[in-house]
Amino acid sequence: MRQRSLVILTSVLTTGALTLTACGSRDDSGDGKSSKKTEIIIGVDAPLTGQNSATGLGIQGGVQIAVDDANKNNTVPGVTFKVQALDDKAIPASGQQNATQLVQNDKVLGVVGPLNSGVATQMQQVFATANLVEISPSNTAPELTQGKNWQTSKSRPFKTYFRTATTDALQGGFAADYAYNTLKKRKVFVVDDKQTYGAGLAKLFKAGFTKSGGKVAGQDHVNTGDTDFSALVTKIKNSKADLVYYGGQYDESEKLTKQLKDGGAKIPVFGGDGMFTPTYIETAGKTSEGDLVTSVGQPVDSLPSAAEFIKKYKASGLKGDYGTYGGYSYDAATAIIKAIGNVVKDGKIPDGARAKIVDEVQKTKFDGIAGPVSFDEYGDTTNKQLTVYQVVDGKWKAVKSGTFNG
Amino acid sequence: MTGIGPVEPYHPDEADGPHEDTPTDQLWSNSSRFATRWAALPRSRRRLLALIVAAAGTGAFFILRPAPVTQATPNPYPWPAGVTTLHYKGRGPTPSSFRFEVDVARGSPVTVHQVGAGLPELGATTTPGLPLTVKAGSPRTITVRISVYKCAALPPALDLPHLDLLLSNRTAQQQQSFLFGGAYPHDLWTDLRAACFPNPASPASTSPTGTPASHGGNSRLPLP
Repeated sequence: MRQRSLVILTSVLTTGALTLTACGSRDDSGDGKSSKKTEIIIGVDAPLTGQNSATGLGIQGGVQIAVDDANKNNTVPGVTFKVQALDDKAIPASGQQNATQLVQNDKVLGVVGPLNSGVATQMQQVFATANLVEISPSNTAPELTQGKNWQTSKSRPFKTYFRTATTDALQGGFAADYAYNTLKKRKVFVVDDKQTYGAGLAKLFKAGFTKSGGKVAGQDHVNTGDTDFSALVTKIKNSKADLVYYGGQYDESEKLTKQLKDGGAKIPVFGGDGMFTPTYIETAGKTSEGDLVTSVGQPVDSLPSAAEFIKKYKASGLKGDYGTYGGYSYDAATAIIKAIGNVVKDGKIPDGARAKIVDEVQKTKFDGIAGPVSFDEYGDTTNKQLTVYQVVDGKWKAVKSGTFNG
Repeated sequence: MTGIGPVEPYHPDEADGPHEDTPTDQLWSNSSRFATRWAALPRSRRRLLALIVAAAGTGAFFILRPAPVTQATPNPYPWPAGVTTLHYKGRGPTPSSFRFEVDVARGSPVTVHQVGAGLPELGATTTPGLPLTVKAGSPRTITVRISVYKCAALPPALDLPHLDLLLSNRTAQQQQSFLFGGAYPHDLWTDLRAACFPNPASPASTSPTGTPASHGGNSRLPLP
């Protein structure tokens, strides 16, 4: 009798479970409408191979996690987001081709990228013509948002362009102040890679450093892709400089610092966010010890909101360095997703959706994982935070953080 | 990572200690008694009860299941530098003093422990005195008086003047520089020039070696 009762009881529970399962299935498919979610694509443009690809892949990974979160949380009902990542190889012409490809796809309602300011200059017009919003997590050249004459009269060139990273106008001055007043350096040798970002940042550092009273002991340029800096090392040593400032990316500077130190010049190399990646330390090894960079934003370990992002990034097996721009990429993608949520209702994309999304992005205001996210009248982030990092015991260590208050 | 708590959403129910026994627990702990009673019921009554249990279970599932998350989890433990802003509000009531508004956007109150003038040649004192605690949404104004220790060591110009604040809240203590453009650099530099280069013929952009000898020492020199 007891066995028979247990069989009945088991049947009852099984029936309940099956009922629940059936209900769950209906919930997933609904009345047939929810199973046909509208697919919207968030485009990504970044160097995914070759030069700068460590940070470029970090941008792609940051966007992917933001999109996964939006889909999981059903952030925009009736919409499934996908990522379409295109490789610009850090080449402006490739970026322009990618921009053209993205605007021609009606499913693309927003783009995150590019990494390089020089690439951005060739993409902005394409996106503006198509009213497609673009948010860069890493471009720092001031003219992208404030126009060519930004130092005398600011004028926004493209209303479709935004960025979550602050500009070199602050980064160069912040680095110069730290070099002169904290490090007590007085003679700098300035090197840049002749690119929009690198040359612009070096120029701004030099202006700030000399204004503070420092001297320029020498100046030279390198080409992206260069690997032999022996002639440059000789120039730097002969200049008696007590600091090298490098405007450019990690690909060249990680080799330059190694050859410089191996050549007997025991002076630090100071650079911008383009050098701020673990790859720099891994390649240069112990010769990178004492080198410095400025980077945009606060140190990641002071951002509790970023902890879960980092956990997801590591767990997902995504490639690339998430530490430099991953958080800003997540926030950039989230800004686009939220804007889409204000425009696309129940999966229906209205006429002129792209232009409406641009307007919504302009009104963005939320707490992102890398800090508050909102944009000023130029499309620049209002989160103007910078940090100086130094290589200490083989790791980037934050040594000073600053906020620009205007 | 220092002083950072868990970032996962806090579930108060899980921290409330042991729950009372549930009917399910009672069901299985008295299984033989239940089985006897169940077997004694007519078949039609057993079917009806089975349907009621299944329906109740289904209803309970849909009522009690957690609502889908539609927004990103807000930052539960902001660090002080991430929520504190410092705005220049103009000159203070006395010479060489400058007013700033300290504002905390959210989270626990932020305490200002120290204010530095940003350069080793400069000193700063504040009114009111420190520490000063600022609650979110209730900005406080502080007046910072700048003094010069050594004119000869001043840079020829200030490119990005800043104040260095030591801040703390419930989460952490941080040293943060607040950099200024606009009026503060102009006002500060005007006062520095008046203190260290009183002769208009000694332009500020030249080397400080031309400053009065008394200004080149290490004694503290308040601005006029």
